[in-house]
Amino acid sequence: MKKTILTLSIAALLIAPGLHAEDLKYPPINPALLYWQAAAQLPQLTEDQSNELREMATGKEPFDAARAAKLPLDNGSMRVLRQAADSTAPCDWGLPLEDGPVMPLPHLAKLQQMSSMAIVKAKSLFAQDKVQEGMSWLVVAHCMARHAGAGDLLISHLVQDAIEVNALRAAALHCLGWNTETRHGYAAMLESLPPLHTAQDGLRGERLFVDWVERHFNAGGKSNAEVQAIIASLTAEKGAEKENVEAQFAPGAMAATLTEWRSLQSRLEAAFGKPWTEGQAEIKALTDEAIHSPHPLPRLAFPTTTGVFEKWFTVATLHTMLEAALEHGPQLDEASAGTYRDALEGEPLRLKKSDNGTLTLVATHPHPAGKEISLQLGK
Amino acid sequence: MSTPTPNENQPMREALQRDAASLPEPDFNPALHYATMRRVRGLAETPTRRFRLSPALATTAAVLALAASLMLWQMRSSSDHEAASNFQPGQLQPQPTMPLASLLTYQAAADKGDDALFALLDHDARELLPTSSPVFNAPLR
Repeated sequence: MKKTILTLSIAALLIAPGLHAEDLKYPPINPALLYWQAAAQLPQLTEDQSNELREMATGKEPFDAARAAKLPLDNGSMRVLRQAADSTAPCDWGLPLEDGPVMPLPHLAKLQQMSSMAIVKAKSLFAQDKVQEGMSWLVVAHCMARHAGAGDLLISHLVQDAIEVNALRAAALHCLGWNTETRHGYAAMLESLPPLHTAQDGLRGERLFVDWVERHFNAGGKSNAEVQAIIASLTAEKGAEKENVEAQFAPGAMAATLTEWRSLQSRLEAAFGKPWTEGQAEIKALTDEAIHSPHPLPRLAFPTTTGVFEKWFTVATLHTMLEAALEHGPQLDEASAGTYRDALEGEPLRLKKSDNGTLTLVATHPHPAGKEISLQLGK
Repeated sequence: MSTPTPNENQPMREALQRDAASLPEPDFNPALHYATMRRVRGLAETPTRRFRLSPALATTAAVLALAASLMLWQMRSSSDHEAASNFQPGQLQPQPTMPLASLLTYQAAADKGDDALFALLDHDARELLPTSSPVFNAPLR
């Protein structure tokens, strides 16, 4: 035993400098840069292909091997995509935050499309019984979800959650067919991933809107062309009164507007850090306060957040459901399912069995209203 | 491979120093010194003198460059004017109220629900950065 430990230690000492040298020679690359390289190599998808890809990735349409085979899933971009997902460097999209609401976010559209490719590729490999390879593409999708959230905006957060849910659902559809070692290995891998960006992180990023308004107000107010364009967009989109919004840019009015806006923002951020049972009522009250604000700007620009908060806990519940399935596999029954709880009200999960034998884990309460939180296990 | 030692040429160095010491050293001649220095400076300055533009030549070059710039500017502005006069209002698409792929655009879509947001992202994924050179489409593995 001592001899083995000594040999391993010597081997580690000999290998370590080599690994370090390799790290220095090829330091990890900012994944965002690699994702753009992958995006540059993406084949042009037709509208039909694009829809088909998304439907199969989200599970709205069942996976169809023949249709998937026609999608360009073996292009050069996939190699770079994996490199990006595997990179250990921090993901920095270089977002021009000073642009405020007109800040371009073109990476989100590309990430969503590429994540669909990774998930459909995984499903396609599972269909060929290439479980390990398929799992590795789901891991790519999970990493992409985290990288999508790296913008720390509500929209980035929504895209992150959507990619994460698609990857979770894809694993759930197949995991009952995996042996115990594979299931537990996948659970350990999920555990080792960096945490998702929280809804609170996303909301905090939304401060850029009020900061932008204040900066533009200080620099010339409503005469600024960019401000005019935003006022036009907001009023056109939400059917608001343009004159009232413009009046906000009067020196006296703006100070009160900004104070109220910032107060709403910070109270909402605090509520987003609370558990569902405590935070939901507070968030609803704050949203109502924003809707009925005497100041049109925060009323128009304040994001709709109740759904985002709810979704954050829904994703956590889906994680718990997959965890249960990976732990118990085909032996999962009502009793073992009941030992797991949803992330919202903390109620035990239930296991439903359909007539065709399909198992589905379900949360006790619907979220959002009228819609079950459920995870289908097996095809 | 061997490296020569510093002492290898020592006998030769000593012989040369002996010979040099035996030569009579003339007295310092300031006239000869200044004449030599002038010659050295003259050698150094010759190339500069060769490429120095005379003021007249420089002025001519500047006038010619200005004239050329004016001509180019006039040609450009007349073609712009021509394009502008050929413009028909119906040729332009209406300007979108919100900038493409911006935070505000996506926020507005998200307010209408997830389906609206993800349909827009899907659309933008096709519209932004369309396929590049076919060289990229070659499978790398």
